[in-house]
Amino acid sequence: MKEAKTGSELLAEFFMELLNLPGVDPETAQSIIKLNQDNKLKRAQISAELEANRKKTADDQI
Amino acid sequence: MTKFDRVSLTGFRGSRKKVDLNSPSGRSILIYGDNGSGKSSFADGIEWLLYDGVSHLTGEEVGVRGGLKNELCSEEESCSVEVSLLNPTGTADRSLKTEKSRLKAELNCSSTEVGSALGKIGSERISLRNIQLIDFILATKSQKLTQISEIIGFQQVLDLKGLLKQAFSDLNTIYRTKNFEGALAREKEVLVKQLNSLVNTDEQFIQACNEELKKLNLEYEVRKIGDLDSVESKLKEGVNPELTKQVVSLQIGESSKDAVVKKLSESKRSWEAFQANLTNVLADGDRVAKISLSKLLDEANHVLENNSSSECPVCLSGVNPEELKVSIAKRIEELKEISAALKEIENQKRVFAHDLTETLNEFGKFVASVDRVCDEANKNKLIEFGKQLRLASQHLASAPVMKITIKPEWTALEEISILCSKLAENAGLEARKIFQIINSPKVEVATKLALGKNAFLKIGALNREMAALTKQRNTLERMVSDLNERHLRGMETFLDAISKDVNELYLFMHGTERIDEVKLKCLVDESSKEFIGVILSLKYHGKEITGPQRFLSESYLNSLGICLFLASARRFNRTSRFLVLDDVISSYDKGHRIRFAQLLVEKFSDYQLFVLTHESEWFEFIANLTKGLGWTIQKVTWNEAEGIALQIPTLGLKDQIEKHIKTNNESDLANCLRRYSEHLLKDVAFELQVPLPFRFNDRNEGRQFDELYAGLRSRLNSKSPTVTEESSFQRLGACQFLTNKGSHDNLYKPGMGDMKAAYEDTMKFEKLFRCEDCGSLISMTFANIPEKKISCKCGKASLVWKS
Repeated sequence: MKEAKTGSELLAEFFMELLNLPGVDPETAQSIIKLNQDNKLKRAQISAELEANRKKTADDQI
Repeated sequence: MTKFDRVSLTGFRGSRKKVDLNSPSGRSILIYGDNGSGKSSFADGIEWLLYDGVSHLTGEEVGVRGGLKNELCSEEESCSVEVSLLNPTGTADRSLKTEKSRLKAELNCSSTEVGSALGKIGSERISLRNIQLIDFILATKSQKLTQISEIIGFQQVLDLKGLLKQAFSDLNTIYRTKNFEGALAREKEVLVKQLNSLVNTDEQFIQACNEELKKLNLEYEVRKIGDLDSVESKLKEGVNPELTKQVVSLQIGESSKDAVVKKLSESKRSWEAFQANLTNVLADGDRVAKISLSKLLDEANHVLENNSSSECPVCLSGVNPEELKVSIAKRIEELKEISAALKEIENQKRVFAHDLTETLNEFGKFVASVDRVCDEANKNKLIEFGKQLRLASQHLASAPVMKITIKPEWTALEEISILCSKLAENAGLEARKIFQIINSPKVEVATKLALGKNAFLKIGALNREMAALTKQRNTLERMVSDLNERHLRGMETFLDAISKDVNELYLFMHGTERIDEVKLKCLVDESSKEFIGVILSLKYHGKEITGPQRFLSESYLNSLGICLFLASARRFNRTSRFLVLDDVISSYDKGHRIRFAQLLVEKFSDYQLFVLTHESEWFEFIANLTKGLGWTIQKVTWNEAEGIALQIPTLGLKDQIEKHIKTNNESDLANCLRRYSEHLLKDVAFELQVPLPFRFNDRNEGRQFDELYAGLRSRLNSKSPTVTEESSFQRLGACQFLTNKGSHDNLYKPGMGDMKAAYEDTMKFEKLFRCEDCGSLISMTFANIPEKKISCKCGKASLVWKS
């Protein structure tokens, strides 16, 4: 039988393997991982962080 | 893993003066105390230290931190719980202080390791009380899911999943409101106007620029986009740079007017749609106000699910329970709808505020670009219009929908749109005038190249932003789906594992009672693949049933509750290695109490157990069972002066008897011996399944020697007749005569010699049924039908047993 995991263990595994997940944009995943590490994983923070990433991408070649 | 070396209470709950409960090397502790003696204060103390709260001391009447300090203590006297820990070694104390007439709890730890261990233990379930036993069993399927999620920390997973879903939904809304297609079309229009061709790639754009340059018959050539700045500079050589700057600015104003006016109109429409939705939801103010009743209705629903009487459990008036359930379910559904609608509106408002800010940025750029052709009065109109919109967007971004006080004012929009068109037209005219003044085809080409480049780069930026947004949406969608899969797998693995443990523990206690395969199963919604609840099922007389409360008695349900608690502690308590069991066996009959004690001793020998009870019979049984296992046995009494007082450890009846004999102390010896032989007979009768007339609860426990002895004799005569012929068996009857005489007021008082002989005979009687190797009694549990014998647990001691 597989070892049962606690929620914290399950989330730790999720964040650890996130970058290897097929179809995931590394930059977006990194941002979410970083917000989680900084204990800032909130709706408004995600929104602001992703918007900053888009802005950076859009402005990159101007 | 962490255990306690000592728990001390001072002025806390039942204690007044400091009372130390020592448990060297993390030994298990058995505490006996009558109701009101203060034994539960130790359970409360451990709970308070770990969680800064005691579950049964909550509610309006108790108040914040009420009931913690002993009522008889003065204000100056302290109230604290102090523990000494093993692994990590150190101490911690929580004390109650009064600050500005408010009670405040303060935790001090001797080291960061101790603080960290206590923090981790704070998320584990370490204590179980009688009143909590069947909470889980009686909970609804969604409550079970919530409770299990809390135990194993899956609430965090649910929270993260919810958060990622919201973020995904936000990205979808942004994608819609950004209107990339519209913005791209406008920029492409500018590009065509300036360079006479629709270009898609850098190469095509450079080629179009070179086509424009060819018209001037110059040697200039653009090879890459970066060359454009120097080419423009060369084209503008000798011309007043301020004029060329003005031309570009005015032309940007002219070309961006349509986009700005369109964005303002779209913002107005979004606002009107939002406002209409809001008005619609708020129209039924009564229903909105009732959202606060959701929790109460959920609770009522839960109560009614377990209520079969035909009266309302609150007002006690006669009702049809089914009709009441339907009516409450309908109200809950209505409130869910309105709550969801309000959440959606809150989200719309947030996105609208963000969108309006972007529109205002574009509007600001337009106003700046047409500054040269705008007089003061019009400029003020534009500034005022923008200012009030910006104020409204800032307010909307931060205020909840129910508290919006500043709203965007759109009445001037038509006038502003006309003004923008006029200004854009004037900007075009002004640009042409400047061209005439400059009178240079080179500057005209330079301006075309500048505006074309601006549009081309914007198209690139919009495409990149759109691609980035799409990637982000895909990523979040993938994350939600991956997390959902992990959650599902994790929950199934957990439920399988815990079911296996619960089943093992439950069958230990009820192995012969036709209950089997106790399982926790998760319910998944087929369409969304989301969890909707957890159910408890078991096989009862071979038939699978869910909702065991419909079939099992209180005692069996309590047993199930205990097994669920023990199984979850065994699986998920990673830091603590102790469990507090406060009076959890009250509803058990003797047989199950014995099994439960055996379960604790056999299956949780590596745990430090705090077993608290007010049941003297069980206390004595477990005290005997744990003899030689290093348990600390304590009795608790209470007096006004000291509060809780711990008595010198009781050694168990056998130890007490031997101590009396050794010290030649006749006092109470006969009574101890009588009680010991009665307990022994009860245990033997239980293991050999001696049939006795039915009696209710306490009267069953109170059976006396004669009845038990006669019943045992009769059982043995039919199953194993040689045993009753043994002198050791027959002498127990005579022993009882002596101990009865000695323990009651009688003229005849047996002496120490009589008591020694009676004790020896009792020991010989016990040897007939108890194995000297494994210490267990010969039992029907270990029956060998083919060989016609029954044995002890290890099989070394046995009796012939006729079928």
